[in-house]
This record gives sequence, structure tokens and C-alpha cells, in this order.
Amino acid sequence: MTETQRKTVVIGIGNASCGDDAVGVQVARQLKEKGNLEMAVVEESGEPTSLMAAMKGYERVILVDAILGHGALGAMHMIDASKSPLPAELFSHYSTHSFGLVESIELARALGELPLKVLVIGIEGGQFEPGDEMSEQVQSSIGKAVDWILYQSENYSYAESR
Amino acid sequence: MLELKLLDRRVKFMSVDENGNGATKRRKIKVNYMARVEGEGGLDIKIRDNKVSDVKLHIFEPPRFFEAFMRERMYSEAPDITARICGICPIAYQMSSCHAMEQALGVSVDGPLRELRRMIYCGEWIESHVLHVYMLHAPDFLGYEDAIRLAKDYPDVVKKGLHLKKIGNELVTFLGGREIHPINVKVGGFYKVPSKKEMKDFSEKLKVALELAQEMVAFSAQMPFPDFEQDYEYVANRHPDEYPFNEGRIVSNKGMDIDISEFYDYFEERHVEHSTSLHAVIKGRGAYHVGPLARYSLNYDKLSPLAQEAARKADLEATCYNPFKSIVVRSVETLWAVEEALRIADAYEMPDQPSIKIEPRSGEGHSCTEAPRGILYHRYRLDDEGKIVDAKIVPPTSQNQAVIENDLYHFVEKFIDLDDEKLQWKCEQAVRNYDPCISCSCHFLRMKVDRDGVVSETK
Repeated sequence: MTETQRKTVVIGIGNASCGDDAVGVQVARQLKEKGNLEMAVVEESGEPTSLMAAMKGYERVILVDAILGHGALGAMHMIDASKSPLPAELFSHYSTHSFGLVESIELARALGELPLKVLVIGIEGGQFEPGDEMSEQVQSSIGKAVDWILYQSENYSYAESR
Repeated sequence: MLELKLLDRRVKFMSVDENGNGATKRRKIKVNYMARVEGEGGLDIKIRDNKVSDVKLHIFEPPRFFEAFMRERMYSEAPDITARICGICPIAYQMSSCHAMEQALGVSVDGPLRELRRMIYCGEWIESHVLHVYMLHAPDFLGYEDAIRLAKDYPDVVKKGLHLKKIGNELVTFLGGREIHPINVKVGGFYKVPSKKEMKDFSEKLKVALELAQEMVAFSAQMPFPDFEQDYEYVANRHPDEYPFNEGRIVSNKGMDIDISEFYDYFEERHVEHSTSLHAVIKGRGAYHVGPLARYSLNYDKLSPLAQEAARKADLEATCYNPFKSIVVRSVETLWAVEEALRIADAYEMPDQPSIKIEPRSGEGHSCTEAPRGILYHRYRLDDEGKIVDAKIVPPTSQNQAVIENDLYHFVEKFIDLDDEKLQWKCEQAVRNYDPCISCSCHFLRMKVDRDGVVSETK
């Protein structure tokens, strides 16, 4: 295990019973099923205080959340929030959380509690209602996100280290 | 003690445009609610010849959808369905629906199960009040655009607020099974209850919360309060032995004292042209005020000595008619809720059964419980199989709508000489006194000031 991995937490955000909103949580669950992980993995509802507590103390955080679709259902967007805020329009309008991810990251930044490296994997979703099924395209992106986190995230170049 | 400084507030009402440009939109807290039915709230203020001629608050009210949605469902589904109306106060919806169903079904929940219900409600009050006081209301008073900017100057204050909120969340999760949309509450009690050992372990967190809540009262007491008192009719539950949560009679400071089943004999909901929401009024009298100020002013004698003392130190009297001081009252109620949760934890004996047995039957049940924002009334009628024939829900924010408009009417008059931007900020703060539940009512305020036909608008 490398030093960075030991200090990494992956946080899957979402509501397991709200269609595509479950994608973050599903990514976290599949990662955990792989076992023998070299990073911490947790599920979060998106509630800001718990989310902030889950990130605290790590050097690197990878947050996985559903974002509002922009025409490419299931597409993954890698967004580096280490130095600058997330683009609010991707997250706030359709967020089913109580104080958006955007605000939680900024509040952690203001308090000096944000990990040095912050990567958000936003997966485009289309249906977010309670009881909705997950779209096929979003479903197939779960495995891709898991693989990317396991095998490629290490090489991601953060604003912080540039 | 912490010293607070007031900033020159640079009033900006920035918004994110369709391309995502611009900074984050004012203070906006999203709630866990279905996006499609989320409505946009708005406030229209009309000024003619330097006098307020009209104030209209537009709010949008999802509970109406749920009333229709619940027909034909089993009585046992009501707590979970109604909990989805509001991501901030799901426990309130669960409690009001459980109590109303239990009345319809002819049972009542007592002993340790009743205590556990009070305890989980404490968790919701703590979560909700702390979020509002630290994240929304304090920045208003101190001249910050949002909590993020407040956190830059007062990191320790905000950290303590977040810590206290986290303990509130943990209390809801501890008894409710999960944080948002708790699933452990059912008609008749709970699916699972904690052991005595688990309860004892949890109470350690509450001891920490007790300190934090005392600091919260001291913090909120330092805010600068505008001189603004109104002659409200306060309406809240009142119980002979306790600060109210789930049970009691509905009382007011102007002589009302009724059984909950008489709700519709005394209150009515009127359609108004400018809103999809119904305006709740007391028949023959008009607007009334529900929530922390009403609860406090009608039940001060039922607070613990510690909470009363904290209130006194914060310069609160036994009644309070300044809506801006609701921030202090919320803090006092938070302190009381922590103490109450601790009391219940200390005295806890695990019940033999997590819930009482229910036999479906036909009937009608009413309940009114104290949601963080005020009384939440539910009424159900059931058929012989226990299926819901009819459901009525009256949420706190729609009850306060008329009183919010009245406040603004008088408040704008007082500040009419301010420029529109400053006026809008003041109004936003005045609306926020009521902590309007944005999922139950207004998503967020768009304000329109029409001064003799010249309109300025925030987006």
C-alpha cells in the first residue's frame, strides 16, 4: 500500500432508493465487496455535517455522487475541487441532499478541514425519484468508476500538486 | 466570551445563471425532497407613495400531493410516506402520523416507548435548530452572505455548531435507524429499540452536547436585534407535565384551549389568489403564529431550570414577542432538548417489546405534534381493513404564512427608506425568523419590490 492510498477515503454519496441517485452508494458498496482495500470506503447520505466528518483527517478524498444529466447518461465527470469550488449547476439543482455537496466542500475548506486532494466523480443521472430504478447506462458506469478508483486514481494529477 | 464584530454587509444577490456563471446563490439549503415537485417561493412587495400597499408570500405546498397519494394505502405506511414530505423534519411527520393512527386504532403508546419517541424528537429539534441558527440565521445577523464566509472569520464557532448538529444527527440515527428518512419508527412503537448498554454509551455524546448547547445560547444572545415586537396570537401544544412534543391540548395566549380533535372547529384554511398554499387562520380572528416563539412563550414554566436560567442570562423574558429573537429561543430549546434526551437516556429501561400490537379497524384519528417549526396537524380516516380513506396534513409553515406577511408589512414600513437591495436583505432575514421549511413551503425566496411601478427583482 502506498502512503497516499493509506491516507485516502472514498465516499459514495446518495440515496439507495432514489434511482440514479444511488450510484455513489453502489460504487462504495462494490469497492467494499472487492475487499483487501488500500483505502477507506464509506457511504454517506450527503448530509453536510456527517459528510465533513467523513473527510476529515484524510490527505485525499474521492467523492462519488450522481449529477444532473447533460445528455450523456452514465458519463463520468472527474472534477478536481482541491483548489476551487465545484461548478454549482451540476450538483445543486437535482441534489436530493440537505446542504449540497458544493457547500459542504466549501465549508470544510473555510474551516481548514478539507483534504489536500479532493476529487469528485460525478456520474450523470436522469431519474432521482424514490422508487425509481437505476438507468441502465448509470448501472454500467458503476463498474467503470470502481475500476478507475482502484487502478487509475493514483495517477490523477491534482491542482494541488501541479 | 466570544466577541462578535459586525461587518459592513456588502449586499449582493448573486445567482448562478443558466450557464453556471456567478457565485453560489445566496444562502440556499437544499432539502431531501423530490426535485420535480419542488416549488419556487417568492415574495412580492408593493410600495405606493412611500407606503406599503401589499405583501404577498408565494409558497408551494407538497403535502397536498401526499394527502391524495395516501388514500387506499395501509395505516402502517403513513409514517414512512409522510416522512418523505420533509427531509429536515421527517420525525415530526412520523410522530404526527403515528399518533393520529394510534388514536384511530384505539391504542396508545406509553412507558419507555413513549420516552424513546420524545428522545428521537429531541434529536430532530437539535439537528434542525442548530442548522438554522448557525448556518442560516447567524450569518444574517452578523452581516455575512452565508455560513461559509462566517466560518472563515469564526471557525471555532462554526465547528462547535457542526459538532452539536452532528450529535443531533447521531441521535436520530441511533433511534431512527438512519439519518435521512429514518425507518425504525412505526405505528405502535419501533421496529427495534436500543439496549440499556447502548443507551448508556450514547449518553456520553449527549454530555458533550450539553456544553455545546449552552455555548449556543450565549452565542445567539449576542446578536444585534432590531426593535420590532408584534401582538401575535401564539398557538402551541401544552401538556400538564412537560414541554410539549407529541401530546397535549392546543392553546393560545388569547384564550384558546382545545382538544386536538377540535382543530377544524377553530382553524380554517383559506385559498388565497397568490399562492397554491392555503392560508391557515383562526376562525373569526385571523393570523396566528406557531413555532419556537409560540411554544416558548406558552410553555416557559415547563422548561428545565437550566434552560430557564440560560434564557434569563440571554435577556429573554418568560414571553417573547420579537420574532428576531427566535434565534435565541431556538438555542434555548436546543439546550432543553439535549437535557431532555439525557434525562431519558439516564432513566432508560429497555421495553419488553419494541412495539405494541395493533388490530386494524375503522376509525378516525387526530394528532398534533411540535415539529421544530411549530404544530403539525394530521388527521386520518381508516376503513375496516385499516386502509386510509382520507388524510389531512397541516404543516407549520403554511400556518405561519399569514403572520409572515403581516410581519413584513410592518417591517417594510419601518425600513421603507432603505434602497431595494438592503430592503430585500432585511426582508429575507425577517422571513428567516420563521425558518420556513423550504421543502414544505418555499424553495427559496425570490423577492420583487414594486415601488410605484418601478420593479426590482432578485433571482
